[in-house]
Amino acid sequence: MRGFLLALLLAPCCANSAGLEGKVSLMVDGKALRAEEAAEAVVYFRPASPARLEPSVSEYSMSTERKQFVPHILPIVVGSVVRFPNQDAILHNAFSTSRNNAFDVGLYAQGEGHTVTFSHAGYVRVYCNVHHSMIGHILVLDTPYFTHPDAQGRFSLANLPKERGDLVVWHDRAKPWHVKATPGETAAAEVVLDLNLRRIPQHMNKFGKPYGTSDNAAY
Amino acid sequence: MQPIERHRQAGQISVPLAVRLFLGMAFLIALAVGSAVVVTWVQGREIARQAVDKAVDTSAAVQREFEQRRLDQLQLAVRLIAADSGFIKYIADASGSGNLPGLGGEESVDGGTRDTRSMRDLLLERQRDFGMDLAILLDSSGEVLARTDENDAFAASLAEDPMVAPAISAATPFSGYWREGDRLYQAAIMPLARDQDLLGFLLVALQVNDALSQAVAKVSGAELAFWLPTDQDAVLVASSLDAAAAAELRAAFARHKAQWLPTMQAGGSIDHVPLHFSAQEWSARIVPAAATGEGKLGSVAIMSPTDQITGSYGAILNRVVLAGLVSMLIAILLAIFFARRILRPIAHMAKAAEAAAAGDYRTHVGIESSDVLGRLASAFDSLLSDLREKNDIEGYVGQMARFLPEPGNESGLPAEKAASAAPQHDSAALLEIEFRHLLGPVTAQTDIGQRALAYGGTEELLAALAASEGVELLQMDGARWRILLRGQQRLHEAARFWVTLLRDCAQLNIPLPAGALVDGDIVRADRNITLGTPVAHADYLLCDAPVGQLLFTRGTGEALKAELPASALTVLDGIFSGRKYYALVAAALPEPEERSAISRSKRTIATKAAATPAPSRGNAIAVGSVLGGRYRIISALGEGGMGIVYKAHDIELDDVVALKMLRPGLLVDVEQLDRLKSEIKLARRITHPNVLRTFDFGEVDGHPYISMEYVRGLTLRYLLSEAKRVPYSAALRIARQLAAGLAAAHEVGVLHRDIKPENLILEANGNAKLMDFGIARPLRRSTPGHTEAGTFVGTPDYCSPEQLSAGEVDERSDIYACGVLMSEMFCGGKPFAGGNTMEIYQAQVSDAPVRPSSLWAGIPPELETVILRCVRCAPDARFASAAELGLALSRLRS
Repeated sequence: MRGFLLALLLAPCCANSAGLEGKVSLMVDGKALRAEEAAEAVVYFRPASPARLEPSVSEYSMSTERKQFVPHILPIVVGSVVRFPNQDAILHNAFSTSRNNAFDVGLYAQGEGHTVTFSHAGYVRVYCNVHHSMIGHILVLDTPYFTHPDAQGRFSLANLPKERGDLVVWHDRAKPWHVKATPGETAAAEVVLDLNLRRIPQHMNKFGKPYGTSDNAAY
Repeated sequence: MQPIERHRQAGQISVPLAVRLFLGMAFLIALAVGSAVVVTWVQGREIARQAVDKAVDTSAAVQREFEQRRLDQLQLAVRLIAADSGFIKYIADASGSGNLPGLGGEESVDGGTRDTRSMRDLLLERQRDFGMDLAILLDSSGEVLARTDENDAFAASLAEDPMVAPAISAATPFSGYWREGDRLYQAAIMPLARDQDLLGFLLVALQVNDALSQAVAKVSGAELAFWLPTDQDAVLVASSLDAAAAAELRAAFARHKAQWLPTMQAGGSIDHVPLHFSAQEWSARIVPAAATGEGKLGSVAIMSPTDQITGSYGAILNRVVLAGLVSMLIAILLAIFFARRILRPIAHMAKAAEAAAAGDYRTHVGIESSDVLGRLASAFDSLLSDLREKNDIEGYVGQMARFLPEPGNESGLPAEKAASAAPQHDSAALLEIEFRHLLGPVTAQTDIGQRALAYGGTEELLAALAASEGVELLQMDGARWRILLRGQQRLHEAARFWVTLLRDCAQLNIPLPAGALVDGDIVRADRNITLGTPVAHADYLLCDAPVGQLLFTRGTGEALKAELPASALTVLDGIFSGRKYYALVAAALPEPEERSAISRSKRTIATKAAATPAPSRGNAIAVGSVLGGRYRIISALGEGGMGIVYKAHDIELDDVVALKMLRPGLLVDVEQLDRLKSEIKLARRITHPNVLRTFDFGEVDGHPYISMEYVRGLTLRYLLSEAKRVPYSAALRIARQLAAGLAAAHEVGVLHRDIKPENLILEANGNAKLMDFGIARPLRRSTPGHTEAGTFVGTPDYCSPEQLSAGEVDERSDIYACGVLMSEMFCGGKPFAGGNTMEIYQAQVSDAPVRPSSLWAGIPPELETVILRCVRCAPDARFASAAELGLALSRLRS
């Protein structure tokens, strides 16, 4: 994938296919994060009238490692299959209640796991029923034009159809960066994502202690 | 003697004792009751106030508890809603966070559609489910997504709201009072999170309205009112009162707005606010609704009605005051009553004292109690009794003393017993006598004292003679005396009188008088009024009478002719007129028989009873002569067993004394003289008001004499001769004094040995004196059966058995005599009767004494016992001493 993206980057603008490029940098509380943090984001371009897509032949994989979904954000093409292997020694589960894309692979131990086919575009949040803090995001896109920024935060999308479309940079903790762009005409985007999606501190009970501790058993 | 101090200072207002006592008691009562009432009042009010405060406190506590409960309920509800993952997902989906931008093909760049309608719908559902009044959905920056109280999705932000802002900034739940415009809510806000990602905020609220206030009021008992301050005013947003009361409350608040508003706006509290509305009194406390200092969120007034509490306390206090007044009234009335009662005996005594001061001693206080008043009363009664007795005896003696002759007139019979006021018509002979030598010219050289003495001597002579003849002597003007004679033999007696008078004058070396005798009818009224022609005849007849001659009128002379021998009458010329009158020839009459042994007891004479000694007793001392250069004889008082007693003037001491000249034959030997002297020495030592004092013994011109106290008074014998017995209280007094005097004498060692009524003299003031102590001792003992004349002075009636039997004589013999005297004095009779010594002695030893009660029925039994004890035959059975007798007598009360 990376090589492909590099090629796209080095390729000059060509007819009927152009590219969009830019740089993504993340900020938290007004302070910039390290450049390679930007690699987690997903950049995609969706033309106004998307062509017919072919799902990818290979499987995508979102595995559960160390009680986390890896990769955290997984962009796929609609219709693709995603496998959810379990790399942990413990049982894990993967499910989602997202509209149109609800699934549940069940509980299983270490192993290859099961696959799910996503036939609708949309944003799918993947949870583990056992471990409530495990979240994975799957972006089921109906465009093949998506990538992650590189270690410096630069991205380049090539061979884009020369029509107006939406250029979106998505991060789960930020409001999506969304412009209307035309490949080849839009200048390089300087994308600054403010990861301001608030996290709520763990809700304490009124004694300032976490719920379920023995102190407030009588409560 | 120091003057009695006046205790009342000048200028002091005299308030009656009863009033002072009453005022003192009333003041103390008023003080006690008043202070009790005041203390109760003050305490009562304090307690009432505390009760009201407590009521308000309780209501405030209830209100706080209620609101806390509601808040808890809100918190729970909001947590419940927020924890519902379905709700979260719904909201998340509705707010478009599940969409990938660009995929939906929407036109706008700005992020996804927000389905606020769905959000509102769900919100509404949840609000209804949990019974909230309001629910608001906010996004993560405080923008309002949906509200249940608005249909349209207005663009609004609550990010600045004082309650929302901290929740947004801290992303933590929050709850409390929340004000939106003019409405007050209790609200809770909670962050909505999906996987710890903040989606937005949910706010739920319950409005503070009348329903809430009423609910609180019902539980707490106090009314509630919520005020929200605006710029200039405060608005009543909710209250538990009904509409009318709420309007009144608003009005009341408007009146006090200026006072309270600043505090309310500043979020402070005001306590003990008095309010009046709904026809009741209230006590209110205004506190900030949320927290001190948060004025913006409003104030709540907790109002407790005070009428009930103060009313009940007021009723108690009123009753206390009423009871206090009533008890004070009763106590004051009782104070008056007790003051009077305590002072009544004192008032009684004061009245008795006033009566006694006015001379009425007959009152009797008679309080029987053992306290101070009782002692005072009994002492007072004793005093009154003493005064009564003294008064009685003074009256009695005074009555008797009316017949006491004036000094100088001692040897006269009482001129007239109970002189009758009724004039009497009588035939009488008037013998008038004039001593011309007393009427001689008075010049500067005249010795007036000598003349007076001569007069006195003449008078005494006449008085003695009149007494012995038993005729009445009237003193007239100048040197005239009149003798009034009545009866058949009056002329004869008159003649005899004249002859005797002439003889006595010759004997005493007194110049002869001139006399006139007239017989005729007279009218007598009282003692001094004599009317009739004989008076005038006698008058001018006397003028004509020569000295030493007795002239008669013709009629009288004729009458006398018949009675007397012819040689007794002669005719003389009157010296004045020269007319011829009949006259008496003294020598022609037979010698008048001697009048010796004149009945002494019939005399009202001072100290001694006797006529002037008959010429046969050649020891008579001339009146006016001076004995021993010291004593001038004034008059003869009487004769006793030991000699004649004279009244004399002690020139040395310028005092009047009585002199007893002893009969020369009395003292036969030196031994007797020594004995007498020693007796007198002892008797001299007795100084007692009830004993006649003996002064001295001496000898002058060969005559031994004893000088004694001179006293004017009546003997008990005279009193008894006039009235058989002496009245009880007077006699008791006399008996006590006798016992006292006797005790004084026995103490010195002198026995009286001759106690009898003749030897007890009573002065005009009622004082009794015992006289003739020891001096009257028989000088020769007599043997029983022999009555030797001259050895017993007096009668043996008063002698004790041992005296009569010549046994040992001691104090008890005197007491025996006292007993006989008392029997005679109280009852009028002696205990043993008899004509001579033998008979009496026989009666004493063998017969029982005559009981006093048989002589006088009204005798008190105690007195009878005393008298009988005195006259017991055996000396040991009698009182052992005069003091004992006196004690027994003092126990008797008149």
